[in-house]
Amino acid sequence: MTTRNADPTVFIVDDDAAVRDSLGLLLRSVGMVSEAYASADAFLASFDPARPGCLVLDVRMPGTSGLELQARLHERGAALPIVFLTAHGDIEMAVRAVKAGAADFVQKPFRDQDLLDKLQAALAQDAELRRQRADVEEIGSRIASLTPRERQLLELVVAGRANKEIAQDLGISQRTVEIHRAHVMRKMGADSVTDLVRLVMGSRS
Amino acid sequence: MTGPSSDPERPVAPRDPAEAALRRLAHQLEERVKALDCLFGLSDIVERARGSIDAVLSETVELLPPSWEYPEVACARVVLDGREFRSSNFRDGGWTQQADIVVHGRTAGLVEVRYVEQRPRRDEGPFRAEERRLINAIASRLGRVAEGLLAERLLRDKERELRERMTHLSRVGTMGEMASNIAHEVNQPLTAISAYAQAARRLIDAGVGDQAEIAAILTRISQEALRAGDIINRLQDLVRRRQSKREPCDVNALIRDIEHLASVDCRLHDVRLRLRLAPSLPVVLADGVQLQQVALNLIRNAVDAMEAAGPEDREVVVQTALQGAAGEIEVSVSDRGCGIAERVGDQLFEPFFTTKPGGLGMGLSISRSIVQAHGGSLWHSSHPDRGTTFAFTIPVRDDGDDSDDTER
Repeated sequence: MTTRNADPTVFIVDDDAAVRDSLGLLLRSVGMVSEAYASADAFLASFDPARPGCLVLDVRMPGTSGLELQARLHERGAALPIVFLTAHGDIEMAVRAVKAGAADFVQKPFRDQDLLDKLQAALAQDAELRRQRADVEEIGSRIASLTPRERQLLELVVAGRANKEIAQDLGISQRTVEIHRAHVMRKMGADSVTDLVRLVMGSRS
Repeated sequence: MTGPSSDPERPVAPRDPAEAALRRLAHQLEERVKALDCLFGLSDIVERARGSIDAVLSETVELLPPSWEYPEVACARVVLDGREFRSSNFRDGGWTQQADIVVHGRTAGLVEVRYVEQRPRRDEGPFRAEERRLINAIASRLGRVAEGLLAERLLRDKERELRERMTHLSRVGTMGEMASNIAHEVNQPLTAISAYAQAARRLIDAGVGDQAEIAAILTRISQEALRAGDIINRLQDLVRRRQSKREPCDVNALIRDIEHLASVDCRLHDVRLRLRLAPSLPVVLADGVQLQQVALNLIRNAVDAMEAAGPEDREVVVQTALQGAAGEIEVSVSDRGCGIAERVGDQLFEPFFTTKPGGLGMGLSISRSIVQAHGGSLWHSSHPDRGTTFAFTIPVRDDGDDSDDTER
């Protein structure tokens, strides 16, 4: 299993220069890496879904609003967790944002620890999502490394068939089944049949 | 008031009855014409008096004697609210015909015609029934004039008071519409201040922030605090209720002053705000805050008018210019919005006329009264689908500069 080794980045999108600057400084003071953008469009222009992190997003912005940016990212299949910055009167917007899948929101002005906790949670959520996605990809590539015969066998094993039945189904000897089966277990990195079933089912969910 | 019994001046009756009837008719006609003249004369006096009740009464009193049958012995007086006006030939004694002046149901005075010498007995002492009707008509007319002038004065006082209150209200109303945007705008520097302070605190606690860095953060904190204060001060200036005043103003500076406030509103509606200010403008005597209120109101309307406009059209242009040889300064606000239907016309400027859901309909009416109180005018021109321009003028007066110079 591989993990991307890039440092997670907090992407700040707010139209107010002082808010961007102060937020960046606050994150730096606790050793977090951040990048700031003055508009949703500027962020989208340089957006790379491969980069891990989370988004701090002002709900109310001229041009593309925070909620619109959320929708656009969703369309692109990007799962970057979003912590929204809202103002006192924006509760309705915040509720909509959370319903649309936002990780959380904080009201401006915010308590630093409150924001930092929510950002840590958002980063953890992103890391977990990326790990799951990497696992699925890894198992997919292991399955791809099997020969056609081995893949047939894998399906039957996962379906719960005994070696004898498999030998009959495929018209081969039980001994050959055992050899194929050992190859499949090794290539898939599984310790037991249960382990194998778990890997394959997990990659399909 | 009792009439005489003899009739020394009655013409000798002619022998021909037809001629006698004719002469009687001619005499009656003459008296009728005098009565009409008198009423017309009164209308004239009221017209010319321009709201001064004293002028009406002092002239009316001279109008009465010639309208009676025996002008050579007639004089008159009018009493209203304890003040008396007498005709120049007034004398006491004799026979009188009077009528009460009633103002709002209260007897406030009287009209009196007096014969100082005896004359033949008629319907009411020496006076005729027609003269009774005439004096009643005049008393009644004076009562209405007094009521009208009284009401007018009350109305003027009330109107001034109301105008000041509405000016305040509409200013507060305009502010209310902008309030949530402005709250958002004040929240930004507060958010920055709070985040800067918390970051500085963490840097110090972690022992990583050097003095120079902390000092830089403190500078930014104070800048943001000033920014928040600035927004609030401008808002307070506009909301505070005060008496209208006149002081030398630079119209360009007034517009630049509200640019920030207006652009907050514009930005949140995705509208560009563009200023095209004349290079230099003479100083005008004006109430700067009121003019700013007019401009803000027009900008707000312009922003609203472009709610459905495409992105490339979303622009408000505020322009200042000197019109006519230093005659007046024109300020115009143009949008490229939906335009104004021709049938709406000048109804726009009437109180409580609005096309906006939830609108109070006071903005333009107040704006026009403010501009008019400055001796200028406010108007609009609109092309459906191509937008609307509202413009107002403020006259440039030389004495404005003079008084300014002498003060220095």
